[in-house]
Amino acid sequence: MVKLNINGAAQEIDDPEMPLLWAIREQAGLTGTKFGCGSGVCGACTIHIDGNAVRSCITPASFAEGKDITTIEALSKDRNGHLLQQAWIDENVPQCGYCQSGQIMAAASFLKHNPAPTDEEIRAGMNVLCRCGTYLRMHAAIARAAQSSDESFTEDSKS
Amino acid sequence: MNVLNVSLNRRAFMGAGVAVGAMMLTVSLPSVSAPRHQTARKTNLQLNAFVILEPNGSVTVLTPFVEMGQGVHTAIPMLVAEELDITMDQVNVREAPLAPEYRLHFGGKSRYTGSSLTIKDAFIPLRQAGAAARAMLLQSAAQKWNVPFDELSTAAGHVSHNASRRTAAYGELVAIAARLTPPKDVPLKNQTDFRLIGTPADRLDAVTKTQGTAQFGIDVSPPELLVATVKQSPVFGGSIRRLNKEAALKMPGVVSVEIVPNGTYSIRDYAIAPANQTPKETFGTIAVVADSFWHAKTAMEKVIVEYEGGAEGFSDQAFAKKLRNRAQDDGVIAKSKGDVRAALAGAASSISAVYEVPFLAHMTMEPMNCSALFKDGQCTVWTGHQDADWIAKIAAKILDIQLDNVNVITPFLGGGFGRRSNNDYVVQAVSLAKKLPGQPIKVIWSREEDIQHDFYRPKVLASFQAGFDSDDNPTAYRHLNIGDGGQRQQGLASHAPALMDSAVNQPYDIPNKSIEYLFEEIPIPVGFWRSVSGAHNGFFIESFVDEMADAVSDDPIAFRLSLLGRAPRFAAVLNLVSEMASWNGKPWKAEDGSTHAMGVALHQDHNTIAAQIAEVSVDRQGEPIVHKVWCAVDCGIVINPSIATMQIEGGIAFGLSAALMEKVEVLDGRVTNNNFYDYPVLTAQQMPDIDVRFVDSDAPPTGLGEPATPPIPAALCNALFTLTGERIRSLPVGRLQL
Repeated sequence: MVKLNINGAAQEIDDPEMPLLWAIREQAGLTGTKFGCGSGVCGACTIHIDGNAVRSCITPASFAEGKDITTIEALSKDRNGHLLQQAWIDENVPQCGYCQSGQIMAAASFLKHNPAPTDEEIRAGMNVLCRCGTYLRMHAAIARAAQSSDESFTEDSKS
Repeated sequence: MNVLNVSLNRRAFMGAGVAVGAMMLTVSLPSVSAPRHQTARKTNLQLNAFVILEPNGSVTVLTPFVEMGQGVHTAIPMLVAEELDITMDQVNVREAPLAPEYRLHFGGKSRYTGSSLTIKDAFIPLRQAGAAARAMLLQSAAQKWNVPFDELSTAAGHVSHNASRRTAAYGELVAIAARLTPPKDVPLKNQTDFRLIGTPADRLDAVTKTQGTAQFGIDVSPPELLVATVKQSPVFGGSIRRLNKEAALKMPGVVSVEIVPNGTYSIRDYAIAPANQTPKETFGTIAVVADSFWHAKTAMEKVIVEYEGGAEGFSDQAFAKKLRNRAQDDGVIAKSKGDVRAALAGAASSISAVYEVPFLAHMTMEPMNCSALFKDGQCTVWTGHQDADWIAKIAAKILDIQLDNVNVITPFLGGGFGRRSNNDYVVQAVSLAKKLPGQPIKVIWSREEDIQHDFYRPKVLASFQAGFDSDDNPTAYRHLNIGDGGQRQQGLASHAPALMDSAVNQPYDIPNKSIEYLFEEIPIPVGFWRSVSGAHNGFFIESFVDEMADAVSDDPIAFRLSLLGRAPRFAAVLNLVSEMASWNGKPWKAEDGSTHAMGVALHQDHNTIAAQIAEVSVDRQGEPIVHKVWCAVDCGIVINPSIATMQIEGGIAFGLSAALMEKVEVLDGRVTNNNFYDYPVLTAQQMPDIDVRFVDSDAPPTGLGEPATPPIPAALCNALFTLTGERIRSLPVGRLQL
């Protein structure tokens, strides 16, 4: 038995080898995190463990014991996560939408480590596959979010 | 604001689509989903086949079309909202039930979502539905206030009578509207009066798809759900020789191990065959049913199974040789003009070339999946598909029940690209539901299953010849395609359409032309891959036309324009893209010191004309880099330029991905690719900048889901030719030898 903390809620998983993806989707019932390849290649299953992007389809449940798991459903609780999602909506990024949770979770982690990226850094930092070709709009959304977080940070420091 | 004129006999403006629209609006539909004991004020009202007015004033639009990323769940409500004079935040979208009035394609015959037909065929009927609904609300207000309704106007979900300064929200008029007969032949707005069509309205699905709450087929979770995964004979068409399920049945959570039909011919044998005709099925698929996907998947590894038979002798390389052996044969003529053979024989100079494309997979990000419940003689199917009528027919046939007893629920599709037109995964899920009635079962394919049992873009070969007179004018053009197609395999047509379609629609005015085909059967499943015939014809034709320009030392754009005198729409698109890119037909040194070059391509696909220019370079390892793509498009009236641009970007990405690196390999009857790690697709780092413009037009709209895919492989390869002097005649491009 593995005890997990998913979005602040306790969840018991019977199989420590079960990939987090399936623990999250089928045991916790949070279906925003997607199954794409099962091999850690496409990134549709990206979640955060202690704030860092992790591919949940190849990460065993036992790895996350005692750590904080965040999925797309709880990203907006974080101020910058919320700003990123708003930027995504403002740029009308999604097409089919299936990879978007993974994209956004990856982008949130990227921005956490690099809050003011250059265009080249954004381009190099996007590593989740999209078959609809939303890459250009995702790039625009990440740049917009970086700017809005920066602005809000500046306003916060003034106050 | 246009003034209503409910002149029931006037049939202004209307073309072929009208009969369908008028018929739909005369269908008498009762109020839906409101219990009888509620008061009329709280009841919603179905005004016609497509429009439900909610008591709070919001409007539910019933859509026959599925949302797979192409934005129709925004564009369809825009058509209704335009004529009904509501704002987009007053609109909800709901899936239309199974009924004949939702079949808008081919004169009311079919409902599917594909072939870039949605906007083309919805443009009039959905606007008619909005206009008719508005007419009923105006009539209701006229009765309520006892005023002539040509004094009434509408805006943002309200009817107003300016003279008496009265206004009513649409929701307040439900009770009166409920007593009216839906009108016919209500005039539509002129294009100049559009306030919503032509604007970049936000996608209605952007919020849920950003928050992780959008429901896809794979997310469906009815109570008591079982989850299954499948393993089909890796050799196409193989059946099960031996099965030992004992070890798998002992695994945690496992409920059952079953053999189910492959469902490969879901269209031919289920969707279009007579209901009483038994499918010619192959039982080559094992399904492990468990309490969760993880348990089903781990138990599948314990299943001992041997397969036999199928297309064991097939390999893509041997098939390529077969095609090449026929490259000099005469084909069956699909379209011809003049005498191409005499013109070639008498030509002052001539060129010839042979082109090839590989099998391609769709690789939708959401693997195939379907949930089904068979209980008390009723079936519910939850799945992403491209034709709800087909899903119902599949279920009805397998379960031997009436169509009325099938309920199809369609969540969002995690990509379609044509893959979800073939519903083998639905045959499998419903077959399982029949074996285990009473409990819903969700079948989820692994990625490996998804790539190894796709319906591939067929491998096709093209053979070209062109002749010129002594002044270098083209006098002869011959194009032969050899291969097979999804329509032929599924009994929808002979082999010709899948191979040829767009090949016969290209505009170049050459006095002697012959467009031919030869059938070479492919024994593994092929299907509909974004743009279908355009996916190979765009590359073939636009590469060879570039060779023709080079043969007479002409500029690729000037050469094409010289053959477009009778095709002004094509010429306009080509001129526009040339202007956008500041066309340069020669290589140049870019700021970073590397050499760049441009290539152009022009193609009509699914009634829309697209021209693209690609700017490329090659890195030190020989990898092509596409820096920028300019695309000009003539699709008639643009409904939503933001979503339209997304479709162009997406179509280019899809075609570029294939051109650069995609190739399904088949050996001994089985696909040897396994997953994204050995079937790479375009990454963010490989995505070019894209600049899109649409030709200003008042022509009826045509589709955008597919037409941007065909030109890009040729634009890329033509640019690489200008850069390196080497003509690429086989895809994918891969790494160049430097």
